[in-house]
Amino acid sequence: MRVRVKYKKGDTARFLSHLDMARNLRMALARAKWPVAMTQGYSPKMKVSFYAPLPVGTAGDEEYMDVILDDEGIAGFIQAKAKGAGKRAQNSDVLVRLARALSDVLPKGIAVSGLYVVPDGKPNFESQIRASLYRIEVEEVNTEALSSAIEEFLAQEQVLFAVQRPKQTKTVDLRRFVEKISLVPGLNPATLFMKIRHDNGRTVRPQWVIDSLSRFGMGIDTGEITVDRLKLYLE
Amino acid sequence: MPGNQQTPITWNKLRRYLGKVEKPARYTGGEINSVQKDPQSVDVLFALAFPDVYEVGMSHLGSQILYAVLNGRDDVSCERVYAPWHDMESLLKEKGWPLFSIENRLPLSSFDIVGFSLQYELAYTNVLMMLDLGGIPLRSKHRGPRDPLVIAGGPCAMAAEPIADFIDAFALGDGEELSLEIVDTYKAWKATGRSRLDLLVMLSLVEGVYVPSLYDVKYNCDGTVAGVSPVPVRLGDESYKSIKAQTGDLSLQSACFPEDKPGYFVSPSSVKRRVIKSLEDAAFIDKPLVPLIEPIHDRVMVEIFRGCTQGCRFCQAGTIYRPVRERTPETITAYARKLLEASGYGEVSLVSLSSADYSHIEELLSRLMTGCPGSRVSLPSLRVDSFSVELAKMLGASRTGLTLAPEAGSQRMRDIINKKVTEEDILSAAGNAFSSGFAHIKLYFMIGLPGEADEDVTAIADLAKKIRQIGRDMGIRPTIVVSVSGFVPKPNTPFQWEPCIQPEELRRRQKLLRDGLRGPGLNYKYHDVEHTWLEAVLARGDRKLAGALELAYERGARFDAWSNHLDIDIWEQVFHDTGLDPAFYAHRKRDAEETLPWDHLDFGVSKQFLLREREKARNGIITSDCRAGHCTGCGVCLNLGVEMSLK
Repeated sequence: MRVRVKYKKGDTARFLSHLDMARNLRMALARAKWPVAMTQGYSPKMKVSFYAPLPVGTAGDEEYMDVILDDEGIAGFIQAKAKGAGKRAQNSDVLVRLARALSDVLPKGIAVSGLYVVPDGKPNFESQIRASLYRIEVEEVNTEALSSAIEEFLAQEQVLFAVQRPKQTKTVDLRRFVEKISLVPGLNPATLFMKIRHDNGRTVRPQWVIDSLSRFGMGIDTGEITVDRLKLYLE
Repeated sequence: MPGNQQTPITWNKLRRYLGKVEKPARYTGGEINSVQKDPQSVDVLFALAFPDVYEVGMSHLGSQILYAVLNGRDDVSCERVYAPWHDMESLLKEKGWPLFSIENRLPLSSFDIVGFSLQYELAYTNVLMMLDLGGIPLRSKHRGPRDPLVIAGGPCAMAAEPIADFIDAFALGDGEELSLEIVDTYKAWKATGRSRLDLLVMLSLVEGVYVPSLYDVKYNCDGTVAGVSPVPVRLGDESYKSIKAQTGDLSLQSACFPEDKPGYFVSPSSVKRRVIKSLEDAAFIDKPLVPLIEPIHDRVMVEIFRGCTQGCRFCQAGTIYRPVRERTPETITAYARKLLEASGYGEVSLVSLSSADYSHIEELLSRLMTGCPGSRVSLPSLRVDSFSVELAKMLGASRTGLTLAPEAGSQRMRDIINKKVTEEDILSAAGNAFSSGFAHIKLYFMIGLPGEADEDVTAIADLAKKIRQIGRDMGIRPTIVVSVSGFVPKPNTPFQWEPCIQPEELRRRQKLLRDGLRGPGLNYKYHDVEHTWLEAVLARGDRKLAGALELAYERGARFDAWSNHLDIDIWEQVFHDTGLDPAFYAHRKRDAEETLPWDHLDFGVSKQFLLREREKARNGIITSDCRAGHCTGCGVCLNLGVEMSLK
């Protein structure tokens, strides 16, 4: 059985990387004693998938992971949890109990917000993600200059950006991915919303977009901005 | 009300700038099983300080134990603090923030007690950095009534004279009971509202606590230590009466409050290391701290026994944790299960100084494999013999490779260091390993050992090649990694009088070995000569080094234990500028009659035993392990009033 877990990443957990998140969620599943199906081989691993990675520092309100449960194990899990209750477990009870068990053991800043069964034969979840909506807060900034830099960015046909990877530098066209940027007037800190496209798992980080604004007269230290992903748009 | 009232760094303030530093989760907390108490609700605020980065500190079992022990008390809140990485140090300075604790983000200076863990000498400059960034005066003598009590424990505390000027009190030996006695003493002192000197005096009466400022070091004109003796201190009438009355041990009372010096306190002439009598009954962590970023050792740890009686003559851990105290297989298995469940880890590491020596190792492993299904068991610190290889095989470790530590290449050298293993043992262990499916073998060696000749160095290469040949003869293409470190003579060992070899000579021997280790399937790794040199200076140093340490810190020395971080030019210049000769500490052969800077600290093993062992080393005579029943007369059981406890 494939269970999709919707969760939030915020508070101190905002500063965890995608790999850290995967490690922590796997360990939480083990603490919660979820009957997770394991891979075969020498070092069996939990069958868990994570999607739409977020970088260190970025929070997410609607994150997802898929967990494949071992069908035989589910009965055992229910029995262990229902001990003494004397009731026959319904399918909905299973999800409630799974959610409760996981919620109890998650690290600070990570919380389950939904849980549902995904029927077999659905396409890969990553390819269903169409776009992300981000909120970005910038402290102590000249909003007029920021606004005009955004306008200039949007007026470009192409904004090439060099992404530094440990071993190479890759160039991406940021403009192609940015669907919308809007600066909310009158807020302090300055707040903007940015909708960024996903293309079969390929996307760009809002931090890169902010970084590229320096070309349009708006230099911002991306180490000092607060980025939250509010929403994933699904197909 | 605990501590000094100071405001914490707020999350909102910190959050805004954490994006500027590498791995910000080092400073955010929120770990599984971390304990966050209301500072107002406790009597004593204790900062457990680890002078290295978060990922290293979180892998340290001793700190986890103390964290659990201290937080087990309702009247104590123990919070953690680690050495900030360069980027965080810059951020703290830029923002004018003090170094703060993980749990409640309190400035280090607002704690009642700051306790450092001293695991290696090259972390000393980090201790100074943490005090400085924490807003605490570096030198003990400059601290006032509002400053925290700064204490330190761990293996280096047994001979930490180079940082004695910066530490108010050292805790010697096992910390499970001692840490709580220190807290109780602190609480009792605080209730009296008396001076800081009173606190130090009260602490010096706790067995295992060494208060360096209550001792005066005199030097000979050649720079060696002439003697370390207690300085009589004048106490106020009230303090004198009450502290004297509270000293329950009458012989201690008459020694420390001499009749011919009324009003004066004289600290004990020597300080004994503390040991817990039973590991089986010792404090156990049932809620292990689980970091949210990957630490160096990413697994749960269960200590299977403390102490080691192998008697390797270079090994400090082999003397300062004696005697051996084991846990039962039942207890270990029960602990392992609890820890795995509470953490979500899939691997448990059995911690000890020589795992294969555990009395019921085979029984334990089979118990663990049935008791903790689906979890891996790892067994570090194996012996170099076929039995150990069998154990590794039982654990299915063949995919990860096998690590063995013959320590020396020639039989002559192994006899000198009392590594009781023959070439035949090593080769048959290797053969067994290859036939069990291991294709990668990592071997640890030291060079620069006392009495070492060039043949002994090249013997390492010969041994590696013989092992490779065994593999080839069996039809496999093995990889042999030879990892070599420079020998540093350590205090509390039979080699404490020996010189460390000169850097140029160490380089020559490294090259000699490298030349012998060329060829397919051989991989050579070695440590920086500079690290060996500085460690050798600090490990057996005296209080004169304090000035050099402070100056080195001021000039930017940090994280000296890290490769690529040790700036040797700073240190050479600092020794030059302070008029200290590093060779005096590192490369000088010391006389048996010489007073060593740590002689007033009694770690239990007698100096006569160490001298006998030194003599036996010179003649290549082996000393057997006392586990087998023959007492070697090291003196630890008698001196410390404990016994070896095998289960």
